Formats: sequence, structure tokens, C-alpha cells
Amino acid sequence: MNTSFTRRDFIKISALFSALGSSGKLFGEAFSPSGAKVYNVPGKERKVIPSACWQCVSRDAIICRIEDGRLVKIEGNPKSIRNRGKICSKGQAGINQVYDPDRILYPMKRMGKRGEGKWKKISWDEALEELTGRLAKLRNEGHPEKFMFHYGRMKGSDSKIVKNFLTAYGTKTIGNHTSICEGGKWTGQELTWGKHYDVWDFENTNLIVNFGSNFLEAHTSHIQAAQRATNALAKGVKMYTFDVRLSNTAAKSTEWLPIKPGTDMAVMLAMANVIMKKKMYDREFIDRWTNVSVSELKKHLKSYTPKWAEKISGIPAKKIEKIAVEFAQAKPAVLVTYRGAVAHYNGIQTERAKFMLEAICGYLNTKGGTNQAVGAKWKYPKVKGHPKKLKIIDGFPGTTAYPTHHVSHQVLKMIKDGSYGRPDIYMTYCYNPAYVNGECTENIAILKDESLIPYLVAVDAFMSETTALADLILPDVTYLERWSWDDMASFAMIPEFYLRQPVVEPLGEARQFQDVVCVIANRLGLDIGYDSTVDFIKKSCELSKVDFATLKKEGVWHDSAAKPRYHNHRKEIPPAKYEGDSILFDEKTGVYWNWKKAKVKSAEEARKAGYTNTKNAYKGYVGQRIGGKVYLGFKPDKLNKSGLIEISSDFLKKKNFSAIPAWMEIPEHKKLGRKQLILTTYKVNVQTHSRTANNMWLTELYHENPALINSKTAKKLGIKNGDLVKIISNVGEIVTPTKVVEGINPGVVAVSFHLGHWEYGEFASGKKASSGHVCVTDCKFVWWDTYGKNPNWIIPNKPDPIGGQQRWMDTVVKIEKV
Amino acid sequence: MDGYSGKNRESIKIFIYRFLQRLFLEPDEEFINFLLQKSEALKEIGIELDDGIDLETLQTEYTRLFLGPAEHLPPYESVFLERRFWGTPTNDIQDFIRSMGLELKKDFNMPPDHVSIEFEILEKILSSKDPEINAQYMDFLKEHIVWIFDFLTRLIPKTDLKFYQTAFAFSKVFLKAEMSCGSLAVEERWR
Ligand code: SF4
Repeated sequence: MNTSFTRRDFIKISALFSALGSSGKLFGEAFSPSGAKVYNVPGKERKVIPSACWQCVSRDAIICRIEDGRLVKIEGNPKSIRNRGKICSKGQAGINQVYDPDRILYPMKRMGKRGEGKWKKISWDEALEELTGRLAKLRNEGHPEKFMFHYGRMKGSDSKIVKNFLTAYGTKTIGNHTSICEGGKWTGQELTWGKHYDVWDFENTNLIVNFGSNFLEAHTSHIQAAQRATNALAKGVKMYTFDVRLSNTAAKSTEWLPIKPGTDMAVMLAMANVIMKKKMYDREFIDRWTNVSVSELKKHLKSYTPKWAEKISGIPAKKIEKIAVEFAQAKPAVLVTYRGAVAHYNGIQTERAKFMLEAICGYLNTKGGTNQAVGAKWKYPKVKGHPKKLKIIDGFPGTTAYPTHHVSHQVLKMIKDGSYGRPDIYMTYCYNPAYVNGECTENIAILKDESLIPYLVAVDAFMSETTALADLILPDVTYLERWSWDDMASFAMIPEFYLRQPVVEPLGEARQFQDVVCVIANRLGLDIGYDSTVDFIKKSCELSKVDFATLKKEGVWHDSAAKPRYHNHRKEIPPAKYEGDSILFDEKTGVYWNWKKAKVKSAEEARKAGYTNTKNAYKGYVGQRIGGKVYLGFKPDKLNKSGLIEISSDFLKKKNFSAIPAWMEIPEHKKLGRKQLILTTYKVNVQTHSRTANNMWLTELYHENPALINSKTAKKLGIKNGDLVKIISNVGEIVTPTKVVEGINPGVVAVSFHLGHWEYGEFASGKKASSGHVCVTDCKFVWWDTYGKNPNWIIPNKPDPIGGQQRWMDTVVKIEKV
Repeated sequence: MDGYSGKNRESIKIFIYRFLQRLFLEPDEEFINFLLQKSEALKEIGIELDDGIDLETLQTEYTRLFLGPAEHLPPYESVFLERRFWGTPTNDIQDFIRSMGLELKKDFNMPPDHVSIEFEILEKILSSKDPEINAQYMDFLKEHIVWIFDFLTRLIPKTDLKFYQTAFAFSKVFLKAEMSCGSLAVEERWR
């Protein structure tokens, strides 16, 4: 090839291309005439589109500023009664998601071996033909349950649309990921007060006692909770934080109490002991709203003295006593728990102990206390059916008593085991089991093995560690290109209806998966009653009597006449609602229930079995008789509990657990060797567990997660700040630098989540999809080159025995200097 | 025929830009047929086809080079300069398209600073009957095409197909000639 054009070349080109004449069809034309020349005016107008964040599950209301088709800024929606115009740094960095050139924008089919990284771009038509062909085959063979759908993040209408499709198709082999979040907390609540999600009324409280929640940095209602707690602190409300690590929440507290891992329950029991002994309890609340008596409680709690708890938890008895007294005197106070308290072997009883403590003081469902969540109750088109399932979503039989939120971290192990069936098609949706569960090595091996998982489909906008192993990738849109209605719990205690709408057009061939399932349904000849996401949302708006146009314009809507819903349980049920043919009164529990709603065949059958022993009877729960009246009470969910706060649980007794929360020691922690430490994980304010390390702005702020150890521990082990260490558990080892700090309990080593990706793009792992850029702006200033370590390589996938919560905080490790 | 000056030369450039615009879009049946039919003539100007090349080979290579999802080079000015979609160059291109009295077709679902669009803009500048638009040629070249030169330099070693190697090299040489006509330096500015 010449290095310059000569006259001769032009003549040749002339011969070549003029032969083509104006056969313009060969040359695709991207333009059409607009009719007028339009010149750029400086200071362009910015369009404002309200939508909803989804960098994390808090799903705050946002407004997006768009300049000529480009998203330039994300802010909080000031009209939202939940987040009240505020968002966090992750929310602002959403721009990095939608414009990340490492995104997947086209359907891709695997070419080489699984995980080899060889792909062929295919059209949506080809992709869907292949997928629906396989789906149709399974269904025709009578095995729709062999299609397993496993999601990581799916809420609001996104969830309803997909689940409708799965019902119509016939599978209930649906995996979620709650057991690696806080599923145990929910099971604990369902066993105790009913439907889950506790909202802490910080702005009206007089004291905050926090066990293991870092809600000023990360939480499922992060921005809602953090701003209200901050306002409380500013007013002078005290906050005590029990945590193994000095989190920023602990640092902002009146006092940080460095507790030993997994011993939160001991302190709670001792606090309850103090309150009972000092007669500081709320007898009326206990008698009326719980299923235990004061004397029963006193008897049960007698041996749990502060001195006893001191030995277990390391928290001085005097301190426990002082905080217990302050808690009882606060009237009201809130008691906060999260993963730090719950992701343990004893987590569910810990959660129940929290409720016991709050119930003793009468702080539940009250202004300034802990309240049952209030969220938008959307009505929406529903598909009915009788789907079948493989029994692989609730863990191995006998390991988990009440897996009400499933045991997602055992799914791959169960597929490997094979005794309970294996899916032929395993589809992940915004879910990354290879990375987010413990035991990464095993996860990868299973996902790679075609004899265990014959067909792996990943629906994802990014190349996650699991998506990289898929046979077929369907590119999803990011949340900023998405339509959904949403319903997150409202800390305003008034339900807020809100909308997520595209603020920019989807890039490339990315398609919202909810639209894709409508197409698949259509191809399979399934009638789901709507033909697109927008159609579903509009129909939901009509059914829910919410104006779609208002939502589009404002992003949020709530009934302006509504009052905060405190004391929900005190609502009286009128006789008309509990009298009638389909209603039965259950003597044993005092519950009125509708046997028809519980889908029992006859009243006779229902009466015979009784409320507690009838499958799904809770679905027919009407109210609780107390004295001469019937109240809404604490409505059950997932389990047939009464409308009372069941401090004493027959469900647990039946399975040989203590009916009233009693101390449970973590078996692995019983005899720790001199060199053994307990590994704990945590989250920081600028990253999520697995889906933000690709965001340049966030990764600039957080791209290293050295193992934190106490200076005393370091001295004992001969480790200096910055030394490389090997952390060894019984499932593997990782090598990571250390950071020697004072703000951690000696005996603990803490490694945060978020980092240590081996895929997920340039900033997450160094593994670029998009390359070649020269970077004259922003990315020119990338000064860091670390990716951190994922602690999951060394954390075993172990469920707690009651609910199946992944025991993130129980791992025993050894540390060696490298 | 004088292929080096005057009107004829302009129309050849229009053809070249059309070819370049097509070169950076996904190959289809028509494109491969054109290449196969004109393989001899293409060879004359230095663009060679690989033995037995077919549409699938071409498409696979195109995907690998430009679409990913493994390491690839997205052909967008703002990705190249700012490592993001919809950077500042994207809006500049959009403004320019409007100033020509044109708009992007709705079915084009990517940001408008795609290299093919930039080539098409050049083609449109040259083929316009509006002298005001014709006059923009060098300015646009100066503003937006310089990056392509460096992009091509990085791209060429990435492909194993002779066709893409030689076609990209052809593009580079042509651009260099165009730029030097306008006394523009085409050094690899960002290296
Ligand atoms: S807390 Fe932050 S990331 Fe989570 S939804 Fe709110 S703004 Fe988004």
C-alpha cells in the first residue's frame, strides 16, 4: 500500500466507484432532511425528566437533566416524600452506568468454550428463536419447571411482568437473592410480628440503638434512613451503635460499642432482663399485643444478666445496663438491626430478640418507634396458573426450618448434587452468582460445567462474572433507559407511587427484558393480557387509580390527604368483615380467617385442620380477637402466625428451637484457636455489593479494600500496616494488603464487599471491553490501578438453620504474613 | 480524464466517503457482494480480500473489532476521546448535522459521533448544492476527523483480516492526503 495518494490512485478509484454510479442502496444513509438548518444556540435548554434511581435497592426518586439527548446530571426529586430531594453519590454516578462503553449492547452467542470470551453477535430475532425453541420444547415435554429463572434485582412492575410470564409459561423454579442480603431478618420478622420490613421513625424518636447496621453508609432504604437519622442526631438524639467495626455510622454515634461477632443477641437479652427486672416494661402492650405474659418473660430472661452478656459479648455489664435503662426511659426509642446482627447462625433469633425488646417497651408500630412498612399498593394485571417447580430453591431438605425467602446461595450446590432435579435452561437476570455468593471457585466450576447446566442464558447490561460464562447473552437496558412503576417502603409512613421512565433512548440493541418477555410470550402463544411494559404500567395505573400522565410529569404521587400510618395494628375490623360464610374463628390463636381466600376446599376441611395447620391460611387472615373486639393486629405473611407479636413461637418450638429467643452460640466460634480470627464483611457509602465497580467516579473514591485488623492483633501476628497477608478459611485463601486500625474489635478481620471483580469492565477488573481510547478528558486523570479483593472466595455458603440466611459473618480464618 | 482536480475529483471523494461510511457499518449481503464483484478493482487501489472470505467471516471480525463484548474498539469519537458514550463530541456532531438542515434517522440507535456518520457528514458536505455547506469541509475535517486517524492506527494491528487491514490502511492514506491538501498536520496527536 502506498503511503500517499497519487494521481494514478484517483483514476483507479474513479474507475471502481463511478462504475457504481448512484447505486445509493449500497450505502446506508443515516440522515433525512429536517427541512431547515438549525444552529446551535449557546446555553442550551436542559430538559428535566423525573425517574427513579436503581443504583441500589433503595430506589429513590430522581430527576435527570438532559442536554440535547445527553444525560448530564442526576439529582434527587424534591417532590418525593421518601427521599425528599436527596440522593447519594452512587445515585449521581448513574451517568457512568448508562454511558459505560464496556456495556453489552447486542445479543451475543457463545462461540468457544464456556467462559473463553469468544462471542458472535446475533440478531434479536435469532436469539429469541433459539431461546423460544428451547422453551417450547421443555413446555411441550411437560417440564416447564426445568426452566429456572434466577434474578438478582427485580422489583416493582419489572418483577410482576416477568413473574406473570413465568406463571403463564408454567415454571415456579424461580430463584432470588434475598438470602445473601437480609432474608434472615425477614424470616425473623415473619415469625414474630408478621409482614416484613421495619421502618424506623428516626425523626420522631428519642433514642437510637443500633446493632450492626451501617445505615448512614449503606442500607436498603439508605437515603431515606440516613437523612432522617441525621436530623435526629442534629436535634441531640443519642445513638448507640454496637458493631464489630467502627463504621461511619458508629463514628457518628454517641458511642461505639465494639461487640464480638455474633453476640448481639446476648446484649439484647440482657437489656430485656434489665428492663423486666427494673419493671420498666409496658405491661399493657405486652398483655394486649404479644402472646407472652410478663411473668413468662421474667422467668425466661432471668439468667440473661448483664454480667453474663459481658462475658459473651465483651460489652461491659454496666454499659448494657445503662443503655437498657435509657432505652426503656426514652419512650419512644428505635432499635435498628441489619446484616451485622442477622447474617449469623443465630441471626433469626437475634432479630426476634430485637422485636421482643421493642415489644416489652411498647415501641412497635408507634410514632418514633419501629413501624411496619407502608408502600404503594399497586394493582396490576395478574396471570393465573399452576406452575411447577424443581425443589432446588429452598436449600437441602432438613437444613433450614422456614426458608420463607428461599436459600439462593444453595442453588448451585443443589444443581451439582442433582438429587432434586436440574434445570435444562438456567437464566440469570441481573444476577451474578459466580461473584456474589461465597465459594467463588465452586460457583465458577458449576456454572462452567455443561453436564450440570446445559444451557445458561444471561440477561444483563454488563459483563458480569456469570454473564461471561453464558451461552447466550440478552442485553438489558440500564435503569436510566427503563420503564417501571415502583413501590419502595416509605419512611414518611405514607405510601408513594412512583415511576421509572427512560431519560435517554436505549443504546445499541439493548432492550428492556420486560418487553422481551412480552415478545417471548407472544411467540409461545401465551396470553398475558398486555403487550409491552408501558402497556402494563398504563393498565396498572388505571387499576390503581393513579394518573399516568401525572406520574410521567412529576415522577411521584401520593394522596395529599393521607396521614402517616402509625398504630396500624389498632385498626378495628367491623363485624361485616369477620362475619360470613367464608370466615372462620380459630379458637387456638384468636384469628379470624377466610378459608376461601386460603384456597381450602370446604369450611369443614378448614375447621378440621385449623388456621395454623392449613397451608397458606395466612393469605386469608382477617383479624385478631382481643377482648371483645377484632383488630387488624400484626398481619402475618408467609407463615400462619396470629395477629399478635409472637414472642413465643410455636413454629420454632415444633422444630426444636427455643420458642422465646434464647441464647444460641455460633458453633464455629466456640473454640477459637489463638491464631484464629473471625472474618466479617461490610459495605461503604460509595459502592454497592456487585454492580457499581464499573463506575469511574465511584471507583476513584473506592478501589482498595485492604483487610482491616486491630493494632493489638497485628502486633500479636507480627503484621505491620500495609503488609501483604494470606487469609485462609476452610474453603480457600486470598492474598490482600492489610490496614492496621484501632477501630475494629481485636479478633476480627474485616474485608469489605464491592471490589475484586475479575470481569465487569475496565474499572472493576482492568478487563476492558472498550479499548483503544486516548482519553483527553475525565479518564485521562485515572490515577489508580487497584481492583481490590473479593472476600467471597473464602466464605463458605452456609445457611442459618431457621431461615437460610447466608452466614456472611461467621467464617473463621487464619492470617499469615506473605 | 483528469482524476486529480476539479469536479471529477470531488465526486470521487464523495464515492470514497460513501465507501468509508459503509466500511465501518456492520457488513451485510450487499456489501460482501460488492466486494467480491469488485475484488480486482479493489486490489488495484490496494484493498485486498482474504481467500475465501464470506459474510460470516466479515461479520464475526466486525463484531470482534467494534461491538465486543470482549475487548474491542468502539468507533465513536466520544468513546475514543472521553471513554464514554455521549460525550461532548457527540453533541458537537449533533449540532453540525442540524446546521446542515439534516437530522438523524430515528432507527439509528447509537450516538451520532459514530465514525460512519462522520464520514457521511463529509460526503454530505461535498455533495451539497449549498456553497455555505461546501465551505465547511476543511473545518469539519480539522475538528472531527483527526481522531479517526489515530483510531485507525490503533485499529489496524487488531485485525487479522487482510481486507480490514488494507481497507483501514486505504482510509488512513486517503485521510492523510485530504488533510495535507488543507495543510493540516496529521501526526498522531494523542500518542
Ligand atoms: S441510596 Fe443512592 S444509590 Fe440507592 S437509590 Fe438512593 S440515590 Fe440511588
